[in-house]
Amino acid sequence: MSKARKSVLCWVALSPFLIIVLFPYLTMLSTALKQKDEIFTFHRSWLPREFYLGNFVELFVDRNFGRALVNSLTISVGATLLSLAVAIPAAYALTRMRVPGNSALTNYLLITQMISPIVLIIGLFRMFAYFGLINSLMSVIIAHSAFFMAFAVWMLRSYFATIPKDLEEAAWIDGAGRFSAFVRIFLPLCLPGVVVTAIFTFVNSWNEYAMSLTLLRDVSQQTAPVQIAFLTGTLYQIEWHLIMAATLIASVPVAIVFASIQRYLIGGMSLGGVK
Amino acid sequence: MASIDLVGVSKQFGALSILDDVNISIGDREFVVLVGPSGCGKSTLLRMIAGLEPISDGTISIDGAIVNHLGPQKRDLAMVFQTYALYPHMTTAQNIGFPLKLRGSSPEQIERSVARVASTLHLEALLDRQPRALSGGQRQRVAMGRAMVREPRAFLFDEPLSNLDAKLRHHMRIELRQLHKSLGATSIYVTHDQIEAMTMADRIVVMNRGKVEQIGTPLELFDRPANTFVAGFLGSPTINFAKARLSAGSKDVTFEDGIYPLALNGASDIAAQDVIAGVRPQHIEIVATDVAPLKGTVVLVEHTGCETNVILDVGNSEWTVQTLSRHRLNQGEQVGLKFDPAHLHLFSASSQERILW
Ligand SMILES: Nc1ncnc2c1ncn2[C@@H]1O[C@H](COP(=O)(O)OP(=O)(O)OP(=O)(O)O)[C@@H](O)[C@H]1O
Ligand SMILES: [Mg+2]
Repeated sequence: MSKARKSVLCWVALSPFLIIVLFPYLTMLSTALKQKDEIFTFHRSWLPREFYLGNFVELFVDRNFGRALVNSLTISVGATLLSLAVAIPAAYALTRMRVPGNSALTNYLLITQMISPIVLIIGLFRMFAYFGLINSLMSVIIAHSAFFMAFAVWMLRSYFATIPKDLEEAAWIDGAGRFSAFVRIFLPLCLPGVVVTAIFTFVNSWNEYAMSLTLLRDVSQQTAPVQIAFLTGTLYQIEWHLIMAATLIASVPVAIVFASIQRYLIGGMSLGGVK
Repeated sequence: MASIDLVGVSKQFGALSILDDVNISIGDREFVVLVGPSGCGKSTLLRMIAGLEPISDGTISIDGAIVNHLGPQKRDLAMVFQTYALYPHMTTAQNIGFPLKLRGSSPEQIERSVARVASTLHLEALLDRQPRALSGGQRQRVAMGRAMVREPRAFLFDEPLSNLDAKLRHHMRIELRQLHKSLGATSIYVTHDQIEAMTMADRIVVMNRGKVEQIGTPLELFDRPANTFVAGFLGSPTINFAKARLSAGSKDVTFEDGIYPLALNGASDIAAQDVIAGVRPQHIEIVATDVAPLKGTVVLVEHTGCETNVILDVGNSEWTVQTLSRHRLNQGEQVGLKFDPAHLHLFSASSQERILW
């Protein structure tokens, strides 16, 4: 079979999935570009009457959506950095050092993931209230990184375990101290794993709703998902044109992030350092 | 350069004893080869010397100073790993230069040293490649280069040639020996290839199940193995063993099944006892049956081109005879076997230890 025919066949086979995946995005795009009165017409059309950007203007100017995006970004980046700062050393210790109760600890990490954050929300609220952190972005950064850290440790641990110990040992013999071998040899090699973990943490934090809703009471502190949710229920009507514009914008960072790590997700790095 | 002394070194993993009371003293500039069957603890011992594995008991000293608790960074040894352990994200030049970079050498200095090492190992054309773009033999040379670039107190090699083809292995063997000659570096070399051991070593340490069986020069071990294990481990094809009885005063040896006695002129103070007699395949001659003290029945004749291996039934054991002449022998034929009694090794049947006669 020729290469061209093969790829046409692949595309045909994949097209149902493609349609399912793209459908929500097209709806989102189409609705976001329509005017308010155009949405609930009897004769539905995919194409808007005119290329209308007013929804976005209204979103950013009247509803202060930009503020929510900045909040979300601050929280997601903060939570990602904080959870990596703790998870990398933890995962390193779990794979490379003799830790008493290693396997029990690892299983415990997995168990914490079985509890939905909503169950803990009252406890979390009271705890942060006690520390006076309600309405501070810091509280959500801490809560998010605590909650997503278990997953990060779990994921990094399995990635770290694939890196041959020989490489660090060789570095020690070459004269590197433990920390220097970690930074010069180990970290560069596990970078793909760290990047993938960082992305997952970022996306999880970006999309998280319940904790952000509870811990941030002030409108100026709201995150993007929370503000989008408010668009559906605060008024007597549901403002679909705004909601779709907002979700479109909110999904952009996630899409960019996933597109940028594709290479790591697909390829993995072939090492070739040990036989 | 340095001397390395192991005194009563032991290693346990939990309840499992891996090394037991190992005593080896390695002189300055000596090339010592550790051999033994797979799993006998060679790599573990090497890792303990390198400082990668804690010591359960005993002491390891380098140049007379005990290093039991010194980290691998501070022992100033170089090691070539069984797996090469090249840094995958660095080029050949960076890999070789890494130990110097850690020591804070200047870039020009590193470049000069790397160039020098690369030319000895014929790596000049590969300096900008990463390990994944190198062949097994090339990777191995890079690993050697990384060890050679500085002047460590001793080199540790863990089966560095095990992944190479026969020709490259032969070439590297010679290269390593020459390297040792020119640097005069103390070296400990682990292998389970006995040809490597015999050809490269100043002294060989034969290990079995975590114990040292014998230490000596290659020829000492070949000519006077201390027990049946060492006798059976070194030499190819393997030494022939048969049960026998040594007479009082060690005058002669009688093989089982009524095979003829062999007159010896031995020491007179050894009691009569059951022994295991060993003769190497190379030391036996095939002769006419009527002039031979021992007889065997031909089972198989193997022509390897240069030598001919004749496999025979001798009493209850299977023996191999290696000759340079191409005998025309048929299966089932009876032949006579002759050897110089000086080449007969006798081991006590009970302790498996060598009996000196
Ligand atoms: N971390 C460990 N825990 C328990 N047992 C171990 C450990 N490391 C090694 N061993 C055991 O110690 C013994 C010696 O291992 P070692 O790697 O030193 O053998 P070796 O002589 O180098 O063998 P080979 O020639 O196959 O490389 C083996 O039986 C092995 O199973
Ligand atoms: Mg080994």
